[in-house]
Amino acid sequence: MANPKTSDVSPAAGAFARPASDLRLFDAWTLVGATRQPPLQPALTAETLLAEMDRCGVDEAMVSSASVDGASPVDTNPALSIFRAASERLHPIYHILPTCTGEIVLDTFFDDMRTNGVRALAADPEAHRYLLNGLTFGDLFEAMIEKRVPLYLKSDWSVVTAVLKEFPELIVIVRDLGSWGADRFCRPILDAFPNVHVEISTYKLDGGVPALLERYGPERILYGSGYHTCAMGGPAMRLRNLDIDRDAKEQIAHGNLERLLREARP
Amino acid sequence: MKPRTSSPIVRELLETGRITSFPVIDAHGHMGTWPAIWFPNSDAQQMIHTMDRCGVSTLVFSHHNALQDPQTGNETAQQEIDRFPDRLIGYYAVNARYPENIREITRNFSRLRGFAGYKILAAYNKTPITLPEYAPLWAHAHEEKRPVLLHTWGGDTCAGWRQVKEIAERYPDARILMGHSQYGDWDEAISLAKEFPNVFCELTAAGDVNGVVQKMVDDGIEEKMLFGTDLPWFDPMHLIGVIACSRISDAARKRILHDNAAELFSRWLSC
Ligand SMILES: [Zn+2]
Repeated sequence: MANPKTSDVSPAAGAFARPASDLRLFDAWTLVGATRQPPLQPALTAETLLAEMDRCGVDEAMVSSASVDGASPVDTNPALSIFRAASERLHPIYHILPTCTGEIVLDTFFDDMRTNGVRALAADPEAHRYLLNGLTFGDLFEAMIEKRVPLYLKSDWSVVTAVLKEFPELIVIVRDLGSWGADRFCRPILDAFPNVHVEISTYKLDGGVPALLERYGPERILYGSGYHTCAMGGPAMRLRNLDIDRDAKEQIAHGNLERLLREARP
Repeated sequence: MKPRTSSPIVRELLETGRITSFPVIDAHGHMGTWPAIWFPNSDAQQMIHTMDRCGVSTLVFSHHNALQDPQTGNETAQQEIDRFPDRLIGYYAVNARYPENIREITRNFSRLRGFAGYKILAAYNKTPITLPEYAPLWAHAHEEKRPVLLHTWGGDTCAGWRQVKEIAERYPDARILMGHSQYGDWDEAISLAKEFPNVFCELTAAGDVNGVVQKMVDDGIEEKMLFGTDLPWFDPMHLIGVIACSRISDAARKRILHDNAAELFSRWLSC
């Protein structure tokens, strides 16, 4: 085998921020459960998810049901209790439905969230066929604002923008920004709505996070992996080795999410 | 917390922020702006800074401009290779819609400095790699055992597995790098890499899919897998992290991150 002509890499590692090998990581977005088109290595059990977290050095994780593509949240929400029961490291995310059909009744819904340790919600308007607006969700969103419960939204930017225009005080976590960069979409939203956060599992853009940090500070950037669709090891190592200061890394890795969950009072 | 691992490679990555026992070689990069995205680090100097941070010694790349305008874009790539000859190797980007450019460059490839082979973005140009316009390129790559990096994606009819199979049979000495490893058509990509000694799976984007790296290694193609990032698109540390945390051996990690590319590009790495 030929030797590469560049056997060393310069400059020395000391020119960059120290890697954070012992960083506490709280994954803001993982998926579990059976789906119609399962990924290569689906996480069907808490044991599978926890083993992956151990291997990648992830301390805790928000857990969302991957089954919502083909099953109703009426069934997938309670199914997440197995994960919470399995480990205190796992924190379920419920999916919302409109209250108009009676599938969700506001009071009991928040009671249920409290009982089951749920402090964040997610919406999938495409899979569950509803309009994500005040007409459909005004009662729920007003309650979420009052209770400071965050809502996860996929990076469908026109939907995100419309929701925020109607409910600027809603705490929103935009997930899965995508690997095609998202700055032209997300920056105007981050500029206009201080309650918006971005989850960076698929935001792999080289230099992207440091640039967001410079413009917005670390408070609204959340580490996530997108596991079981995406490999868990990538986002974790990317964050550990970013050339940014340790405090910012800690906030992105776990501090911001912990603050959001602490402040949520379902 | 720290990852639970007994791998010396992962440990040095965690302790120093990069792999120190061997340099990583990136077989799939670009350079310059791209219309659909804003890049913070898209010029050669910035990209090399990223490579330094991540322990990447060498990037094999095609310039974004060359994918649009082969004539001037490849000239820009040449200038950057001349500026950083020990860090950059070129793929000369071609498009069957500029057939005269293909005929000219295949006759005069020796005038280029630091270019290993070719890059075809067939799906974007809507030009199947089996078109007669590409024949001089394949003949040249076959004759001189040169690499050709293809953008390949599951279901694609321009550089999908069927077209790659046809070319691999016809030009057994051309080194065919399936960029993105026929994303989604994993079994077909693995079969091609197993069947044809001249077909390789390059992992940009593909490796980020949970389980793909392990599946390829388990299926026996660790000697045909190549690390890639599409830099300036993706932070190299993302895929390095995936490979580090995949359930594979350190020997396989080193093959993917270094050895396979070092063998494939040895003529350009050592000249
Ligand atoms: Zn590419």
